[in-house]
Amino acid sequence: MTIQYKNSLDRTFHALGDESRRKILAMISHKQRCTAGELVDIFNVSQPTISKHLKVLETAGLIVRHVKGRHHFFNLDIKGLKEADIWINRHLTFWENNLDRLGLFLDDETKETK
Amino acid sequence: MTAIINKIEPIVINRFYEHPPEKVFAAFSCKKAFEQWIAPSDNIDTRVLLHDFRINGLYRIEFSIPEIGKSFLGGEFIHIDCPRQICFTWLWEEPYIHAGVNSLVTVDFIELNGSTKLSLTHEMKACLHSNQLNDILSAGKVL
Repeated sequence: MTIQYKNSLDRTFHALGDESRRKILAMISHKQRCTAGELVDIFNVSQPTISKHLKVLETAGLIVRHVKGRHHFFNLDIKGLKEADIWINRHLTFWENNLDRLGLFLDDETKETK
Repeated sequence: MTAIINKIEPIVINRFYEHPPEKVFAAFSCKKAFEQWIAPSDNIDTRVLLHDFRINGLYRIEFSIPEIGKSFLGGEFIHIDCPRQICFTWLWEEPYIHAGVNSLVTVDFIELNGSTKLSLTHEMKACLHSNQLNDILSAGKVL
């Protein structure tokens, strides 16, 4: 079963919706560059599990893979995260402003009916 | 950058209104009332073009932003429990920057001594897929 996303941000949020993947991303961000083997040791999980998570993160454009000989190195791709950050901040501001306006509307409506 | 990673969670906002849940709920369910406040600021002219408030009913909103132009937003009411909860999908239309990104808004109205605690959650639908994926993986099924 493969989930098809029409929008890259959908893929980003799917990837980030998993706590294990967020921890892996945070570790790559902290170390700046990691191999899959290093992540296996750090998180004490199997190689296939790490590979599956890395593949999801890579497809979502959150990490970039560099191959050097037999080693695969992973770096954070900031662009994908920034896109998600913009979505969150815009909608947070949208709702905060609107819910403030909802409060004013409810108060005004009450005054008018008194 | 770690801060951004950690805050990728649904948006959750809580507000207290000194009005009963029925009244706060009506500000969502009544088209005329909804149009009065569903705008981020006074200078954004807002028109609710469609507001079919029933399960599987659709809504569509037009925002006219000065010097930028019009943006359209729409979705479907997927759960209505008057006056306790409303759940609707949220989708911006082209050419808005976030067009095509599926998300879900859930609004809970909790009665507190005649007042209302409103709790709004806005999450990417993809996050729900992720949870479903985990359920499948933990059950040992092959994807």
